[in-house]
Amino acid sequence: MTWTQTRPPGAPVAADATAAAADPSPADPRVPGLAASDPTASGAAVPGQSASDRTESTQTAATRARRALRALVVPLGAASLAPLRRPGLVLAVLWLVVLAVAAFAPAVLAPGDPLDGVPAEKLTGPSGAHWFGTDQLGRDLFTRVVHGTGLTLRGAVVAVALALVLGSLLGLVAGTAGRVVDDVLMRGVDVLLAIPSLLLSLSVVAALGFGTVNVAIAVGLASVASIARVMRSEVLRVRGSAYVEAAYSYGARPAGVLLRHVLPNASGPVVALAALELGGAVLAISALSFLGFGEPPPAPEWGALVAGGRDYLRTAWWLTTLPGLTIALSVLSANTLSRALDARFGAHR
Amino acid sequence: MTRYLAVRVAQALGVLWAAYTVSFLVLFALPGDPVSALVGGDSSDVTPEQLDAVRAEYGFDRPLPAQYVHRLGQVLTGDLGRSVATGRPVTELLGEAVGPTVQIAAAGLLVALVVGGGLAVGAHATRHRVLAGLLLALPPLGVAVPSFWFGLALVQLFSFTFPLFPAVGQKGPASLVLPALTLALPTGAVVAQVLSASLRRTLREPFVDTAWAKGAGPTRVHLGHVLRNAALPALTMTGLVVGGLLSGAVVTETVFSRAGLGRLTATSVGAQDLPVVQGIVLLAAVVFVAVNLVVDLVHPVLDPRLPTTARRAARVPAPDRPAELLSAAPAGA
Repeated sequence: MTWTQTRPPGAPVAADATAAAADPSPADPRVPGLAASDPTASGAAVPGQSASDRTESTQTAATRARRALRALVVPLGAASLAPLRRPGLVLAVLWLVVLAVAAFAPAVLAPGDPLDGVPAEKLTGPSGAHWFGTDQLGRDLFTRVVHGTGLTLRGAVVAVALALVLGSLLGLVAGTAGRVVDDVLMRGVDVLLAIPSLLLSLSVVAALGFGTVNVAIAVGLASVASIARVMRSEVLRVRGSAYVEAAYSYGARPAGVLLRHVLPNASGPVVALAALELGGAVLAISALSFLGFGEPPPAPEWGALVAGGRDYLRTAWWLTTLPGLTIALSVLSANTLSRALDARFGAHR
Repeated sequence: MTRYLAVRVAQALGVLWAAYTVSFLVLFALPGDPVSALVGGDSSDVTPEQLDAVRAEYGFDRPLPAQYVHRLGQVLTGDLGRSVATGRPVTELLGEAVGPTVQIAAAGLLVALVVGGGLAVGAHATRHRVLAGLLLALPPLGVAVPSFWFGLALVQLFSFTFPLFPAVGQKGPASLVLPALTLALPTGAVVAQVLSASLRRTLREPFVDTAWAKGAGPTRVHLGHVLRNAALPALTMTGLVVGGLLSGAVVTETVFSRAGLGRLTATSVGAQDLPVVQGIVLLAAVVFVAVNLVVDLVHPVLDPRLPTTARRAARVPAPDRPAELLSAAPAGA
């Protein structure tokens, strides 16, 4: 999906202009592809179009193939990021796709039962039969990690969704409802920021009780403040722009302006932040489940898997190392994607 | 200046009152029953009358506004209540736990500043582009690695494979090394990221060219001029970094079985011991507010360009890139 297409007709192309200005080389072969795949960007991609004229005649099979590949990546939101030039980003997106498969259809990757162990095969190292080895009950660790993906990832998505909805709402209200409301809300946000987020999550868990859902709510509440802050500053930025004034001048209702003009144009940096929060949420949820506040034991939550391997550090390195590595790679991928989104849609102050 | 100080202190007290209110709302107004958790969940050997008696003893039976006012009065007189699990005063528990945590936090902060700061300066000072790229790739990696796993990996490597440091306990300086490294990972990554951003901006300033032009060597330019100026904006992140250390202590002290605030937090949350959890949250807020107050007061002294008006200090110092940095804080996890 191309974000520029959601822009209302009156909106300027400022976002694209900055993206084009940040473009390292105007003769970059990806620019013609961008211009071709995204008609709304044509106003900004003037240098790119001249490059397109130049390359049109000498177009090789390689550029065509590259274009085709780019067309495949467009739905992933990485359209203009020149995937071939950023192998890290491609790997990150691939890893996230694998995680999505593991979360929604774990049986595709690991058909076994995560709770079923073969006592005769307990604590065997990684091998062809057991990629991640087995634990003290003879359960296949790979199967457990794959089946735990859903628990951890769903928790992270719930947490970010909660933070996104509450935070955006707070930021939107603070940015539009006038001075007094703004001051009160933002002072509240400052207070939330004064409490370390893990401590805030732990307090919510202490009050609500344990389990994946409560942990997700706790982690989500802890990141409301940062989302609200970014949303508010974006709303304030967009609210002052000429096209919002224009919308008011042709008689649009305030609510309509807010939903059709302010919200879509303010949401870019918030989306980039949400991707970052997703990585943070995976980390926070794993930490809480490592501390033992997630689902009760047989459930293969990632953090709990690492905690379970603690007693076998000396003899079975794979029990902590491989789930830990999985968490690290997932967070790294989410953060990489977030940085790419931020470079494309973020606020460049 | 006196007026500035008075306004800042008043604001700090306001934040503390609000932090108390937030922690009260989260802990006591959210649905959840600390008393039934205390007496062992839903086990049947406790009569409802006994539960009510315990509730009355801790004041949980009264309406929320009354509890709020009562506890606020107690807090103002320095009484944070009693632990539901052990019956001991919360202030006493906190007092015992502060010492060991300050130890590992200080050691962790030292490592984080030296390694994180060195990394950022090195990446911007080197003319070797590949090396700079490698150095700059490390902080995002440090943010992504869960510190509980990093701690266990350190134990695996330096306690079991090469028996250099003890895996658990808190006897002697050797036992401090691995926890300090674990705590320094998320903190150092944040320090490196903040300082890198600041260094990048500072290097573009004209005075850097002047320094080169007058013939200063690389050491003098990078440490004497660039770092000195770049470190100032990074100073506003101190509050978040210290908060991150406290979050990190929860995980680190659990991994290394050390006593301290973090361990107290973990056990109190596990026992749903709400008065203790509230005490810890308040302590964290006090530390955050105090650190920010000191930073705000010291900042104009270090950087004479800053005006010391109350207007500027009206908000908690906004980080340069809220997105990256604020979420770098949960990396303390």
